[in-house]
Amino acid sequence: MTSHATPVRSFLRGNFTSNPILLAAVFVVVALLINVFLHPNLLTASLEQYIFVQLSLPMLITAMLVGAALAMSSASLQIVLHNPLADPGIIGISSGASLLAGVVIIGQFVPSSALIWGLPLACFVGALFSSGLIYWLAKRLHLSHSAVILSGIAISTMCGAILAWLYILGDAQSVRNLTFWLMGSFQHASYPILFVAGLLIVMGIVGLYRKRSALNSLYLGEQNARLLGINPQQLTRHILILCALLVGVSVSIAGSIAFVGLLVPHILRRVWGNDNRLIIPLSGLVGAGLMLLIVNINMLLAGTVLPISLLTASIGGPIFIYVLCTNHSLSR
Amino acid sequence: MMPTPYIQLDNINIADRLYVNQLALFGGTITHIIGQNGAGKSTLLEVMAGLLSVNTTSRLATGSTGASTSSILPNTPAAQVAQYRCCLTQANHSVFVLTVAELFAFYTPHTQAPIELDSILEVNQFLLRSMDELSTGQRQRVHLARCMMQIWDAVQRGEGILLFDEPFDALDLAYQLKWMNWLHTIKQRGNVIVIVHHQLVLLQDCPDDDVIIVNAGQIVEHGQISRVWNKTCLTQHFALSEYDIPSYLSFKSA
Repeated sequence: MTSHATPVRSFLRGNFTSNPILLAAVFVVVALLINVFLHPNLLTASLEQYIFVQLSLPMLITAMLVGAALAMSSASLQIVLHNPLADPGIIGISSGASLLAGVVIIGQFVPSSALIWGLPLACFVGALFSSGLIYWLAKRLHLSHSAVILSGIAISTMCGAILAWLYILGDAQSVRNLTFWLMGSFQHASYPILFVAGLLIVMGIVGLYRKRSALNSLYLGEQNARLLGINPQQLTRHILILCALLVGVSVSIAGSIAFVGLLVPHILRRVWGNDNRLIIPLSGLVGAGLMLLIVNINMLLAGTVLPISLLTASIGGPIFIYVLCTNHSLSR
Repeated sequence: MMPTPYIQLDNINIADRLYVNQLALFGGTITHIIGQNGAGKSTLLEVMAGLLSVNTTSRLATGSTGASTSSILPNTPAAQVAQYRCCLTQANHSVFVLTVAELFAFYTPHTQAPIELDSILEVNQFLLRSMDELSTGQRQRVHLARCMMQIWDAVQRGEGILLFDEPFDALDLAYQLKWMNWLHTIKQRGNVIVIVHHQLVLLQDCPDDDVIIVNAGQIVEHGQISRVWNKTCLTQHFALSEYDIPSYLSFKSA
């Protein structure tokens, strides 16, 4: 695959479009417009307008924010952890969110009227808590990249175990609720929550965007970064904190969504190369566009609301295997 | 006064690895660091590069020796040091499939090797190839070029500090010689060049260069090759008996 990668890259760079950012922006706009066209009477019927503004629009904004947050944090995590297949889910940042969601939903500690705020808040606390634990554990192992990944696996295994206990203890209805929540959904979106979450996500996105050139110095390992005058430990710490924030907020408002973060930057790197000054913002745009498409698919399958991860994993799983099998650097 | 780069180490003590009382290397020299495996050669190079934090004063500086322009690590911003000090380390692998052009773009201010450098290492022909496709020797040439391109302006002004850890690894003889010859030209401009390596046979061809022999974390010999380097060094510091010394390391009989 790599031997073909260069001509493909130069073809796309030279002839097809010299501005992938513009292309991705067009992709986002088109995905948005498709959704508008799915509401045929939007301009005339006031009921349709109400539905669009109150239900569809928050869903679309959530989808875009979450898609951008997941794809951008994965793109940076992959560099920081020296692992082209790193993903917030795989390294366990979201495991604490899932665990606290389980506690809240199955334990029924929070009255259902307060769930709309209580659940995201609990998830956010959970995500920060598990990220903190992973960070603490990895720091004891000198914050090497494999230490972060291994700590992530350890923490998410433990969260998974506790969650499994909750499954056994819970009643049928709350177990079903939890299952749906864990597979991700944009349905819970509402404006007040979106306002807070959106603000946090935009802050995180700006933070990652500003680190885009520094990330380029990490490709050849920490020593080479230090020789360029970059402090790799500090950079890693900042990226991990920003990712914990982004993923924590995303999981809180949309549940855990598989594979998007993993695949988007990975595929973009294959086509447009490894320059993070391009890949980081591009991942954000493509992630946002892709989530919009998923929302559209969900709307087309009117009536049945499919969990997001059901769609992303169904599409992403086979692509993931393809990427695994064709990636030379991984097979060595 | 012409600014000349220099490296000065004082009172370095890294537990169980390296003890250096005092060491100063000045502009316009090539210093070969040799010694047995695990003697502390790479550690010494890392200290010079500012990669290892040391408790006592470690100095790495460029500029005229009159204090105003000299900089002392770790007080100087690392980004500033990165403009006149480069270091080829042994860990240069990436799990990502980078092209040579990307590597240059990420680690140097240049998009391709300057003509003078490319005439020695011939790396610009690989710009669009990915590092995976290159042979080990070709990769080593790319890393050598990348490393020097990081401080290319300083090298041309003769204000560079160039540190190399086993640069000859996987280089064929033609490139070894070409590159070594070229190092001697940039030495004339005033750069400080330090090379850690195991090519003892090379020493005899560079009698005017300096050599540092490291043994068990200590600098046991330091001086011009023509004066310092002899059979006794091999028997004392390389655990060889007189009969073990191979014929290609021919010494004039003492």
